[in-house]
Amino acid sequence: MKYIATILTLIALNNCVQAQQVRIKGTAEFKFSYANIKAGDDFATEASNKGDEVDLSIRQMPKNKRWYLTVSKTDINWPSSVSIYVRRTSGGSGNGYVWGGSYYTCIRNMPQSFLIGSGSLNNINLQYKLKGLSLSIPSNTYYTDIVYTLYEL
Amino acid sequence: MKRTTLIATILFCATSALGQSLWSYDDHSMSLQIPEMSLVTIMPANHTINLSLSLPIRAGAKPGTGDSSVDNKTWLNYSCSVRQNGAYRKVYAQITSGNVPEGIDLQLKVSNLRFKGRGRWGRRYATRTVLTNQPQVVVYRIGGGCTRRGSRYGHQLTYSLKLKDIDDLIVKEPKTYVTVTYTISD
Repeated sequence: MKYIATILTLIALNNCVQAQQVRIKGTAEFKFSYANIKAGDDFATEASNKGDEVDLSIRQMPKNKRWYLTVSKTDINWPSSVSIYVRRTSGGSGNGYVWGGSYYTCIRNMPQSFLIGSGSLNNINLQYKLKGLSLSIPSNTYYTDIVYTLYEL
Repeated sequence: MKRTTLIATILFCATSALGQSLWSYDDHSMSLQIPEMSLVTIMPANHTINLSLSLPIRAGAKPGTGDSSVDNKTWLNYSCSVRQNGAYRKVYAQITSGNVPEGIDLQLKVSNLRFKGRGRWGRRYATRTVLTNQPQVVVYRIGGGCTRRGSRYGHQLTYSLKLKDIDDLIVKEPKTYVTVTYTISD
């Protein structure tokens, strides 16, 4: 019994040490209305949201531990003609550093590298841009999930 | 005892090994909302058209055959967003204020697009339409798309005055004002 308890404690401790996390706060919503268009015109082909609606944090990461982050999307009913791009607009705060991601990266259904960094960081602001918008896209509300995956180097 | 220690060691090593490539993920939703919209305008904006029933070019000829009874300086522009498999939109024209003097027709000719729009734009419904105070379809089969904006884009509108019958011609005022209103609807 004593040994079993020891084993469970060791496993629990080990898992606690490994609890590095990526956390996303916020959502990105693009809404079009009559304010966005004049009769005869199409939508502007590109639209960006504000750069402070979605925050990304890397938590519980040792200071010198290096990591990288991938981004991908899982479509629910997203129109195939609309591409999504993401970039970071801040470096966040904390004991770590982040590299890359200042320029827009196209988000595809397959994960691809977005950021490289080390240590823990909070509130890395993300900005999204849509390309390929047009009135020829049937009116509807479209959804996709943007997935960020953290890997330790 | 030995066996338990061995199991514990294996489990610890296994989870530690996983820790080297441990991953974590999080996601958030993104939405794109495109509502159904329909917008129509005439370009150039606030343009007033002056038509006059021109004098006969010779004695015995009909009045209203000169250039002053025709105007083709305005263009119909529109934008539409429709649902998947939604109904096509139409543009209706009607006189909403004033009356055309008796004995005269105010005719409207709507041309098809000279320059391509975007998406699915419409087509003219008839070669000529005599405008009345009842809405009449002038463009139909408009899907999700637009004509582009400005003069020279969209459907060119040509207004003309035509004498129906000189015996019916009754001109009470030297000038008559009419307002032509365009409506886009399904």
